[in-house]
Amino acid sequence: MNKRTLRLLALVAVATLVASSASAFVLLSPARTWDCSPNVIVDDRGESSITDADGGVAATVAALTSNQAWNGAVSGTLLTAEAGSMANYTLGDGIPMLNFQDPINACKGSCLAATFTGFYQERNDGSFQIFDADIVTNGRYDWTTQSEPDGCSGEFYMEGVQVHEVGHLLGLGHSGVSGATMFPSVSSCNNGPASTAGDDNAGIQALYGNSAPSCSGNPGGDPGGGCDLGQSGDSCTDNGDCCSGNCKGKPGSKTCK
Amino acid sequence: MKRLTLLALVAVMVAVTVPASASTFLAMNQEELVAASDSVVVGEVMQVQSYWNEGATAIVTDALVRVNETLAGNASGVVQVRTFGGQVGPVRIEAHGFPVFERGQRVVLHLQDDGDAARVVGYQQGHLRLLVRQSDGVQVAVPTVDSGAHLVTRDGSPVQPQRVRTLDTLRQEIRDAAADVRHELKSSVR
Repeated sequence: MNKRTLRLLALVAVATLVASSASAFVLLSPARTWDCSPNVIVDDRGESSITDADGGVAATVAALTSNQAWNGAVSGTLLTAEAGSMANYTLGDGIPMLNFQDPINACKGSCLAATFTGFYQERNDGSFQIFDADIVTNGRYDWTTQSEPDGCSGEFYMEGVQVHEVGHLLGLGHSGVSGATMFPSVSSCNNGPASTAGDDNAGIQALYGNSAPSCSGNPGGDPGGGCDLGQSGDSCTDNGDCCSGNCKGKPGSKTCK
Repeated sequence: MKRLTLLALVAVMVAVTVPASASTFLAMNQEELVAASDSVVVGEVMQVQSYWNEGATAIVTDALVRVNETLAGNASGVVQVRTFGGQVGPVRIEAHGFPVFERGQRVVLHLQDDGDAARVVGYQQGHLRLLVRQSDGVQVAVPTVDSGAHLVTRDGSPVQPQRVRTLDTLRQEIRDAAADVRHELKSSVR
């Protein structure tokens, strides 16, 4: 590598660094967006430790759809939310759901809430389209909302945590800007993340531009929801053919275990 | 010239680093991790397999970990450790902030029994990688907490990031913490 090439490389890299440090937001990798504004179904059972009128359902819906949060980042409506049943809660089914419980036992112990992404597909132009993302919540912690009459004491605000999680659902990673909704740490009784900051909004604009998608509604259907691979006893050729991830037998007569 | 090469390399490395993203976890210090663990082990990941859970609603990943040393508790032999997320065929479930295992990885794990497999206490906070420091050949324990973990504290204090320390230092910290909690009830943050 000659000196000129190295100089050029250094300049390009430094320019990239300067450009990236101007805003600290980070996009999920690969970058991905919804085609239509998603409608997040919020668990209509409510969360049992929240003592407002409905276990935090209305407060969470209001926080997610507020113009102080993601809908204030662009013109139009970036997402909608409504209370609904979790009876058909399934990862990857094209219906984004926010569950106040954890039916898949992923979020235990010190996990408060988790967003499962990974449900995206490549568009014809090489960009990536999100078709689902779902959230679970750990009900063993004490949660609260701004609507609770007794204030906050050692509890975690459902609004702030879920606005953060929905940031992931929309395609954002974590930000290095303290005070941003997507900053990766916060304390109990701090509902600051329920209101997005300029850096959060810049991240959304980097993904979606200045306007929300012109259509709304969830992809629905079953574009990959659950396991559509081989069940026990089905023939297979390798582990990736089976829900169990376990394809065994002699070549030509392998079956899923 | 040498300096320019180094500058270019470092700048390019930083520029192309793309952090992953996240779930929300309660921050735990070393004492809390040990208090919530049934055992703490030094081991090596022998096998990793992802599969759909019963009911085919989610992908989980099991790692078989050979226990080389038990720092707390009674785990021995080979332990099966389960984490959430993974890829089976074309379907990948991303579980940001959850432990990720690779075959051959040498690890320190804080484990809690959970049915037919153990799980890692504190998620990535309870999973440290062991590496050999090139300068002196000493084993160091490197935190695996990445930008996928959104940490919260109960008391409003800032989250203290885990630090890299030698295995000897970590070993002593864990044994001290285990001695402190030996006769106490398991922490409520389990």
